Amino acid sequence: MFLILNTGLRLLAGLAVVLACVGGSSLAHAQGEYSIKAAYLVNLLKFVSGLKASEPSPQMPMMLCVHGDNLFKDALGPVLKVRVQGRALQARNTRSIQELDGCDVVYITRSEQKFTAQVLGAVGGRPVLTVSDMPEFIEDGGMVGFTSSGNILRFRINLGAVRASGLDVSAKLLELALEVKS
Amino acid sequence: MISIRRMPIRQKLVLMMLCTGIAAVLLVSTAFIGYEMSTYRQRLLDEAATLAKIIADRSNAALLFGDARLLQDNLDSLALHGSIEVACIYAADDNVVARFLRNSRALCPGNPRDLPNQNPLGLLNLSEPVMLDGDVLGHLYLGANQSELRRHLRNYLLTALGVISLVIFVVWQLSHRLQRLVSAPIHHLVETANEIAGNHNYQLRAYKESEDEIGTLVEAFNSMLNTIDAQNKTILDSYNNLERIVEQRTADLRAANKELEAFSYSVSHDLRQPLRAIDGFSLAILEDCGDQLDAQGQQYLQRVRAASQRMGSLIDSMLHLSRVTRQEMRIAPVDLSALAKEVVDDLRAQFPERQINAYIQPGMQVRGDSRLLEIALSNLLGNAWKYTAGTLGAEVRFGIEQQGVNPVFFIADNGAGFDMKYQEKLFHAFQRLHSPHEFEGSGIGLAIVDRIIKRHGGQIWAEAEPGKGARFFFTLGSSADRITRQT
Repeated sequence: MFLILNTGLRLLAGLAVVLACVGGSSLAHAQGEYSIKAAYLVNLLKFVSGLKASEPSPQMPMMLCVHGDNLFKDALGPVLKVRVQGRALQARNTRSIQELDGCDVVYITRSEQKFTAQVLGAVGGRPVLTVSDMPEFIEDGGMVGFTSSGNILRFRINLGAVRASGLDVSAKLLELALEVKS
Repeated sequence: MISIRRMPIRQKLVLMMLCTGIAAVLLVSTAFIGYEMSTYRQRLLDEAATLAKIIADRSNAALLFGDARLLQDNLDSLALHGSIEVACIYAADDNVVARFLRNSRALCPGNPRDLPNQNPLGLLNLSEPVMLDGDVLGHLYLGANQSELRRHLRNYLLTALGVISLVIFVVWQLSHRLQRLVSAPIHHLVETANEIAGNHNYQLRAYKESEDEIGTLVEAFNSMLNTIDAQNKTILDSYNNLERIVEQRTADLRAANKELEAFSYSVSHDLRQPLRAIDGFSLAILEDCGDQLDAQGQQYLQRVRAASQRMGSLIDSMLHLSRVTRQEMRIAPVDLSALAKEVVDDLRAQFPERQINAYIQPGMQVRGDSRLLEIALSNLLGNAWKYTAGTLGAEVRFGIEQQGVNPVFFIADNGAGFDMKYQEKLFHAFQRLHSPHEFEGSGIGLAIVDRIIKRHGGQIWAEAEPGKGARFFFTLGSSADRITRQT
């Protein structure tokens, strides 16, 4: 119990780390579930290799596409100030599959649950990271799935799907994952 | 502690080499140990720093995601590294997220930055930031004990001691064998020299074993021996030569002496004849024709007789002297005291009216010819009797003046004595220091005594003062061999 509490506090600390990187602002009050998910998402990206810039310049910002209902709202704003692997982050909300062109990371929200297969098919084979908090996301072919384990946000990784798209994930991340499927 | 001066060369050489070897080994060992200690410490620190970097790197994801369990696992793996006593992972706000404490005394420092090199408990402080993409996520602190360092030092020292001991042993053995290179030739030379000096064997030569200074010494030594040997031979040769010459001379002398004695014997014998005639016929003239002569004529004839009688006694003395010289000596133990007593008794019988006190030391034993010694004593004691004739309370003493291997005998009287300035003449034949009016005598007595004493290998001399008496001293030589040599 103490350990769980401890870990929960650590989550907040982790968030604080991110925010400290952003600009040394004081400890932000928890803005809820999607703030944490946003923080996790960005932290994840730091351990994913193979996310190449689509244009010749490697300094092109990384495009984060939130596909479906944008439940992040303002939560994304702060985390987008972070640089990942030397690249700036940008985010946009996509609603159709055609809009997924030029995305480096696709976060599929729960509203698109029925269209998971099409979305995955659209970006499959290209180095695009697919993340979602839908249950059984990785069983359906997704790469990273967020789950709540008690009060704690954990993630599960489908390593096969990751590698199939030309990406790879650091072992450190795999260690932290709740589950790794190959 | 044996003085170094008195140490044999062997030991000196071994000691020398041992000292050098030990000094060298100790110097080298000290240098290496010092170097090793300083570098080992640095190596341990580097190793710990590397470990910290590795752990920090491995922990960045866990720290980012706040996975305290993984962080704890990382730290727990440090339990395998014996030197790590404390390991703490701090979040960006310096809160301790995970800790590893080997024992209950250890603590995580409050601030992982700006720590001194060593904490009060003796632990080395190491701090490493946990980074990801250039951002500091937190800190890792390691506290390492120095037991490894101390253990290493101890082992290193023990090994060094072991090696040093072994090296010293090897050096000692080596030097023990190698010193022979120098000491063996020297010893052989010493032995040779000792043997030559001890046995006077100048034929021996030293053997040259090496081409160095010792070899040169051996050569010089041998060359010296050659010289000594040659000189020795020369000396022996000339000695032999001299011996032969001396023998020759002695033989010549002996022959000459013999001839002389024979001559004097026959001469005095032949001279007797005419003397007897002179004396005899003078007597005949006196007896048969004495009444035809006047008083002066008779006086003249008496004087002729006296003169020829004197000449006869002179010839007798010469004969006596030569007999004494020629006679072969028979050496035997002689009791001088008894002999002297006989002589004294004879003298008393011969001169009954004389009152003389004679003291003879008893127990005087010598080796010599008893007849000759009797003649000598008879002359000496007779002289004493004679020259004390005018002395009241006359005394004669015969004894040993100075004891020893070669005793000095004396015969002393308190008679007329003589002037010492004439002592040269004393023992010469016919040299008289007193006129016949004072004391009669042939002048041959002391010459005879001198001859007898000399034939016994001794010496005779005298001291006197006119009117106060005379003392005659003599020795009889120390060995029977010298007595038998014919002089």
